[in-house]
Amino acid sequence: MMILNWQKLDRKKTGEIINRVSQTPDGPLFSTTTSEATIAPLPFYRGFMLVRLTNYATLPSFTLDFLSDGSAFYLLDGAPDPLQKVAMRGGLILSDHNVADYVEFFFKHVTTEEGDIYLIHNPEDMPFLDSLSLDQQIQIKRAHTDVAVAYDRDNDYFLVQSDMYFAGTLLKATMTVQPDGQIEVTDHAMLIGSNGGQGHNNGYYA
Amino acid sequence: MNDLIAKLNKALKFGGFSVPREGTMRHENEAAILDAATKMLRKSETGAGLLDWAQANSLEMHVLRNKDSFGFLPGKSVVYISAPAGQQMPTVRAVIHLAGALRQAQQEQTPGLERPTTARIGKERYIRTFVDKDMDALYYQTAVVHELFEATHLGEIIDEFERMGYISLYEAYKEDLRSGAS
Repeated sequence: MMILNWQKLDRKKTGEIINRVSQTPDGPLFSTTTSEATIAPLPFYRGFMLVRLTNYATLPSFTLDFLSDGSAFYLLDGAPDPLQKVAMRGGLILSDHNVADYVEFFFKHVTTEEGDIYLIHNPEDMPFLDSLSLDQQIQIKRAHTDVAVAYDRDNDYFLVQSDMYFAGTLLKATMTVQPDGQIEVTDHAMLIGSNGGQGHNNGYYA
Repeated sequence: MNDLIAKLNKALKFGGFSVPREGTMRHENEAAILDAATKMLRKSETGAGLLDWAQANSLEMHVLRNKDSFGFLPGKSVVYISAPAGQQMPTVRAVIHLAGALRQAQQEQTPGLERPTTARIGKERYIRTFVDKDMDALYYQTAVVHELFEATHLGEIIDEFERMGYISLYEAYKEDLRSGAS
């Protein structure tokens, strides 16, 4: 699991970022007195960082995340397009070592109409584990495998295999990740069946 | 299952919709989301009260492009709800979030529930105030869900409240009303 190294910016830099990003027809959503800006480098981006603005005057605190090279700020708004824009500007550099982190980051910032997508690094950390029966919990832990990465030279894409949770379903999925960051699930199998047993696949995990 | 994966892949695909212009954080479907949400919210007595109060106090309502969240920006008299870009926000979700955001705004005029402007009141009291504010907003959301279901029999609003993790509160609220009436 990727751990971000957040750095808090001073008030002057925070103010500059707020002025840059918070121009809306309704005026700024952030003020320097109640807001904080933090930045974190990401292992798969060159020249771009994750910028987080938090307004503590609201309940709960109001947070927006951006990808930025210092001049352009791309709001991470739940759609994949901001990530595409950064990739198109040459900021995305994928390798065997960082592609799993990229997939995790992508899923954290892209939401579907069916809800969020989670990569499962450790079943013990799943927030909904307690809601399952003991038998299901045991089955999940038995069936769990670590995230695996391979590079397909012929097709010039990465293959990432991982357990994931989506729309109330636990899956073992194989994803292709293109050099431009496009992700597609190409194969999947239920991690456990509805009766708690190991699920059936669609051909790949025979 | 294959349908679900097809939906997932569609959501992951680059360039699936037109991106709003740079510099705005407002959702491209803001007007439609707010129109549907306020119409539905008005069908509940509690919701109508919140909307009337918002109108009397010239509060602005907005939908921002962000993951699900809602709140009140006190300096701007703006309440906001959020929805991921490129997606239609389910009206029942918008209604519940809007009710919470409006009540948070109303708390600023409710004795004991105003937002602390300084941390000098002491950590314990500071936290207590925010917990009380949170519980109060949740109580209003529960009331709205209950009244809307009673008025419209719209099961989706109960499902959404359950998805948010608050179904036990809804049941407790219903039970309270029942025991109070008997």
